[in-house]
Amino acid sequence: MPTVLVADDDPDIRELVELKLSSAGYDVLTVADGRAALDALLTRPLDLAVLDVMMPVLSGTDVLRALRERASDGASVVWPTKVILLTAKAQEADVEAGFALGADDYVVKPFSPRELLSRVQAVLGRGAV
Amino acid sequence: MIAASFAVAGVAIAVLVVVLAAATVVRRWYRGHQERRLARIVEPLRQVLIRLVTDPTGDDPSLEHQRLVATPPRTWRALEPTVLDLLRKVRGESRQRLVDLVVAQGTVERMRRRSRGVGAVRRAHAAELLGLLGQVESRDDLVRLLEDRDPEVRLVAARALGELGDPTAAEPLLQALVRERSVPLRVVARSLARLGPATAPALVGGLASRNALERAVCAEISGLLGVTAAQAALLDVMETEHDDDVRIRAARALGRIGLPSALGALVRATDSSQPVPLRAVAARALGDLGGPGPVDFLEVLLADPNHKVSTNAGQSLSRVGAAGQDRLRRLARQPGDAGDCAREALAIYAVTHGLAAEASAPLATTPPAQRSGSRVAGTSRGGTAAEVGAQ
Repeated sequence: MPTVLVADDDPDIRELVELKLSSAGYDVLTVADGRAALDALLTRPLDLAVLDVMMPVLSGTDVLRALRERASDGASVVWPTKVILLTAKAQEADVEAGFALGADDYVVKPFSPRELLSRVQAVLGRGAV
Repeated sequence: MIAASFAVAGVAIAVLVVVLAAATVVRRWYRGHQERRLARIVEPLRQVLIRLVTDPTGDDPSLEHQRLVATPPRTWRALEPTVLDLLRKVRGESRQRLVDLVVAQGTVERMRRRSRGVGAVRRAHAAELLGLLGQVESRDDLVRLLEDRDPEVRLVAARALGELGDPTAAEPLLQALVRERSVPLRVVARSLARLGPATAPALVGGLASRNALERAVCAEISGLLGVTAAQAALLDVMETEHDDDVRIRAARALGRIGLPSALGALVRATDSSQPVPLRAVAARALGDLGGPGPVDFLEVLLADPNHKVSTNAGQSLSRVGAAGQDRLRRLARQPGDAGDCAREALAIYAVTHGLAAEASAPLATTPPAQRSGSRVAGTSRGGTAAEVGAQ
């Protein structure tokens, strides 16, 4: 089954998403800050990352930017990890900026765990096609 | 004798300091102990709560619900903050399960009672939670709190009514603007906007209010929500209203609603006999209307001696569609204020839509010395479109 990284500094959200995704059969890895998220993304092949935007140390957008920059410079070994941003930042400009950075989807908090699962399935399905 | 008195006072102070320090240490230890004890109580139930919210099996989550409903009052009090915290993080089915749990535990009733309590902080807290839980039966309690003697409580109640989602709250919210114990305008406006288009009857009624502030808020919110039912009342405001602020907001609203029947009223509002702020907003609203209808009127405004009016007219022309764009391109080849304004509008459009190459064609420019004196100092309309865009 695909492996999903969940990065959020809120333990409730981490556990909630972890339980929802693992019960749907995904392998789930959780971290509490952006630095740990980036380390995880650069050290092992992950199919998808669900990143909170406002996290300590490195924000979700910083992680995404670093990931996409490494993927485009061709020098580093980077797996084609899909990214869903999960954030309370709901302004049009925030969503636009998230997609411009290379996010595959954008989910606004408060969120529906059921809808998030559907989006995870859709994003990973798109990759398979 | 005096020395002995000093010694006694010194000892007394030292004892007092030691007692206070000991009390602080004990209090901190007790608080930490209580927090650890509560965490021990809450943690296993928190896992049940997370299962209730995520519904991992897809089965009826009644087992988790029943277990949590059966928690004794003391334990529930420890768990309740976690439940309410989670309520703010999820929506949809997950949120509904939490609301069902909180209702079954009697929190809504408790908060309704608390909303009649003595302390303002307790009443405000109750109002906030009643809004968060979104139970329609809380409406009357929140409406009552709109007249609370404490301004903070009134503010929280107004916000909570917006959260509640019951459009019948629109009228009391509007009344809260104008009574002696009032609620700030921005809070009422935000709550009305949250309540959505179902508030149309109250907004239309409010446009005929005797209070100018209420009319202004109703006009603004009608536009923000695109309340087409308010069109006739807004047109009436444009013709009969004496308060400039209300007319400005009505003009903006007519543009946002976007019905073609607003064209005449908006064109009349741009007349040079009207106040400049109204003319500027009307010029922008003509752009919001869209279509070829406003193009000829906007072209005239492009040469307006007032910078704000001409700039808005130019930007409106760039937004109304192909007819407006064509007109701007034709005008951009001409010298003079209208030509300058057309070039500026095209440049802004090009920059904001990633079309800089198209707009950077050489253009006839008006020497700065010949430009209208009423333009805002430092605003250059000359040069290529790219140069203008770079500014």
